[in-house]
Amino acid sequence: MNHPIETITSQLSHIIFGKDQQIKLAVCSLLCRGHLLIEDLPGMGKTTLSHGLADVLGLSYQRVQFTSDLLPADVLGSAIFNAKEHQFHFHRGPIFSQVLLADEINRASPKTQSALLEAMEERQVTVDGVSHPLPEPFFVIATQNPLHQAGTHPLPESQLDRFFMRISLGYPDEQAEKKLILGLKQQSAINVEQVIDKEKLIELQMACNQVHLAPAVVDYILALVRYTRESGKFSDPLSPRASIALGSAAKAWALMDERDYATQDDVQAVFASIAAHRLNIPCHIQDKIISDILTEVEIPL
Amino acid sequence: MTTNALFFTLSYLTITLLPITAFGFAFNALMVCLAVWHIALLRLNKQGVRNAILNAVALVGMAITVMSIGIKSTVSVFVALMLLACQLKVLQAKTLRQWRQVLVLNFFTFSCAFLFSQSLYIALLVLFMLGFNLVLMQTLQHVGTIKATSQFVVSKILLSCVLSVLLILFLPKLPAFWQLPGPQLAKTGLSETVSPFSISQLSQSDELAFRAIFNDVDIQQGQTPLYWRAIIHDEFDGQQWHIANLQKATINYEKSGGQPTYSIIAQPSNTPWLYALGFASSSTNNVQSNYFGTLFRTDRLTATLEYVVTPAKVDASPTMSRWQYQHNTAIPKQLNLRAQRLAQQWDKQSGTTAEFIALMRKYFVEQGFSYTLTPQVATSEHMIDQFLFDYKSGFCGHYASTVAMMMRSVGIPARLVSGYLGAEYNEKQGYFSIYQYDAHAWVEYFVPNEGWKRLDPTAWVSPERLQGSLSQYQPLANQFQSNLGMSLAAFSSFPAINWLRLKLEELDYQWTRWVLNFDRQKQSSMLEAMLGKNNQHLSGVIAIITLGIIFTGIFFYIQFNSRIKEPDAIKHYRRLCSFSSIDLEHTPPKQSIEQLQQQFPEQSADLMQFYADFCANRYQGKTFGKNQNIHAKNLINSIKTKAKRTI
Repeated sequence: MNHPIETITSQLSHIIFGKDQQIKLAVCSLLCRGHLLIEDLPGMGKTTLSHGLADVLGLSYQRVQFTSDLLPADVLGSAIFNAKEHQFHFHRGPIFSQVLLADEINRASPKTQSALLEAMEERQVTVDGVSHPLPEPFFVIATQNPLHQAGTHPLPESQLDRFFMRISLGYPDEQAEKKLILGLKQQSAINVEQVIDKEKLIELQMACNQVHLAPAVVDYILALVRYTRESGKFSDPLSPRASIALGSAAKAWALMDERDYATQDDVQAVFASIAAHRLNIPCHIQDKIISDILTEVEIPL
Repeated sequence: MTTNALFFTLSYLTITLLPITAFGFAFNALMVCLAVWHIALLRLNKQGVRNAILNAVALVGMAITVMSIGIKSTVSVFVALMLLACQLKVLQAKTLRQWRQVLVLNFFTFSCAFLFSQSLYIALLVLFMLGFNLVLMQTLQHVGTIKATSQFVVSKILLSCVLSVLLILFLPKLPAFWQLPGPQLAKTGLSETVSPFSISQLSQSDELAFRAIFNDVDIQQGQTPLYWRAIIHDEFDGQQWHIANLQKATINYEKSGGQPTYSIIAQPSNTPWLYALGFASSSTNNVQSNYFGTLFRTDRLTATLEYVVTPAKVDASPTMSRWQYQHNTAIPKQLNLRAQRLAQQWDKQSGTTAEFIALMRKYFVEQGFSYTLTPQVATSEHMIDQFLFDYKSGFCGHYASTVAMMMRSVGIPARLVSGYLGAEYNEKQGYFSIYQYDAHAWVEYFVPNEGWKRLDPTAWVSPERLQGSLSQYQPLANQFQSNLGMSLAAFSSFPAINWLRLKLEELDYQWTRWVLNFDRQKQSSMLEAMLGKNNQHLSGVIAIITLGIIFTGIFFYIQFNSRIKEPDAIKHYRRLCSFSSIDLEHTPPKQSIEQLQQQFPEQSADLMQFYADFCANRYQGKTFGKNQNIHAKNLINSIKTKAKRTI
């Protein structure tokens, strides 16, 4: 039997070459109903990946290009006066879709960024005192440029914590890049197929919860989290939300590995993408710091 | 709950019925009725009785208790009231709280059995009941099967047994802070007055009176048959022999050094009188000797007592003071005139005391006197006349009284001694058991320049009686056994039962010797033997050390128990990793196994299998069973040999 998750990842690898690990992480994030932040330099395939994810899952999506003059109403929607009925009608913004592609999110002003806050955590939008529920499932896939680039506003910590994972694609290797160059012509033609539908996705998300998280693995997660809090090396240690995220990500990772139990390896595999942005570590130095943590923390058996 | 209720009722009944005579018939019947009522209620599945009814029953029950036992024996009354209260509480119990009260009360109620008997069997019984009480307490508090909780409770009891042994052995024994009056139930074959003529059936008890342990065989051989003296009677009123006034007057005998000693373990008799062969003194605390050379205690014997006996040297007083002579020849002159006349007639015929005795003996033998345990009761006030000329059969008391009276009537000082004759010898352990049915009475008479001499007139009519214990005396076996009633000794003619009886006896002996009688003296001599003499602060130091050891022991026990035992899977995993240079603490199991697979490619499949088992156990919560264990061990062994070879 071909596992649906495997199909998803293989489909995505048709458009992003040689980045299996990142693709897996992105899918993992979606399985955990978590929002995904993709950080990289321009032209690395961030947008392609997010499009691909939405396509392959068969979800309705809207894309918002974040710019410095983007206002919250442009994302959430606004009340517009209907002259005929003499009433204000709420006009839904692009956020009312299953997947919101927030391109270059850190180019927008902090005000607009924060407007996403409620939507991401509560999965509802409140405008003029009226709450509007967002569709289910709801993901925010945001891309951002590295902070040192001109014209960027760093995301507030509170919002960073709401992103389940941050991944970074990085430069492709030589082979993959060669493939990219050669396949350039057909790229517009290659479109990923939808492999699962909404129900199947929800089913998979439920299956993640069934994965067994053994006490030893929980202990390991706790050891990692406590290390960030007690070693004094980090100004923003991991929050309990991060610990919960580690647990569910490990489960999802195990499920993608077709196991019904999570191990310490699963925790190690997802740790970097879950912890790095929360610890405020820039992408380009995250590998070293994260591997230092992993080598220093003892693995409980 | 039904189990609980049934168990409680039955245990109260057991404790009530065990010391059967202590509570009297009425109370026993009351408890049986309550038990039957309760069991009936249980059968009908009814729980809890109305309080009004219970209160009425309680009032009636209290009245019955006091009437049945009387207020003299306070301990028995209060134990009975406690049993009654507990039984009623069980009848009442409906809520969890009430059951808890009963459970806690039981710890006191069950232990009350020790007030009446401290034998090994009672100890085991009470231990069992307390243990089961604990089990029920556990099941009431926590959900669990009876079997699981029993295991838990047994392990705790074993642990506390070890603790109590340590405490008994090493913690200094303090004198009792206050002492409870013992329940008055001890049956003794001896009484302070001897009145054989009013007894129709000499009731015999096969209860143990005391045990004797000889370190030196000579004493006991020199004294066969064994006459154990206990009480001296020197006042005769025509009906009874009364205890001597001087019986409780302490005299310190000169301790003759180097004399062999022997020890006696006396069972509780509720009297102060102790037993010894011949004239004796004792070096044990609280055990004193009197003018007659018998031993006694200052207070009543309510618990078993072990004491050491040293034979005392009594100077044969050549003469007697006048008042002593008068005291020891006094008889009621107007009674038993025929006997007195006969004695005077013999007195004229004989020149010496020995000749007089020979004449007496001749009379008893020729007239066909016989020994019986079921004599006829005297009807006239001239009791000795009636025995001597009409009935001509009786037991030791009859013969001793008669002979002593007749000797007195002709001016030979004589007195009655009651004690025990004979003993049952346990060859394996080397001790003598003396039972209540060995009780005996004999005569001592005074010869100027020679002192007091023993005379046992019973021996004239049944010389076999002297050979040993009454239980071994064949002609009387039927009488003896019918008087014993239902007890193991009554069946001693069956070899198997006799063997069992002796075995049980032996067990009880050890229990008494080593557990019940482990007193301050024994403790200090044990410590001295272990650590040498002359250490004033010895007991204090020992106590502190013992308590220290116990507390550290408990500390480590708790530590050990609270530590989570490492599962087998992890143990094997660690062992496997030890064959490679894997950094256990920083490598996830999967990577370690992969590393091992590279290092030992031949075992690759086995390692994979082990990893699967490991995952199943550690991550999926499945058991690491026997098969998995065997597989892991095999794997470890094969890798071990491999690793050795590469080195």
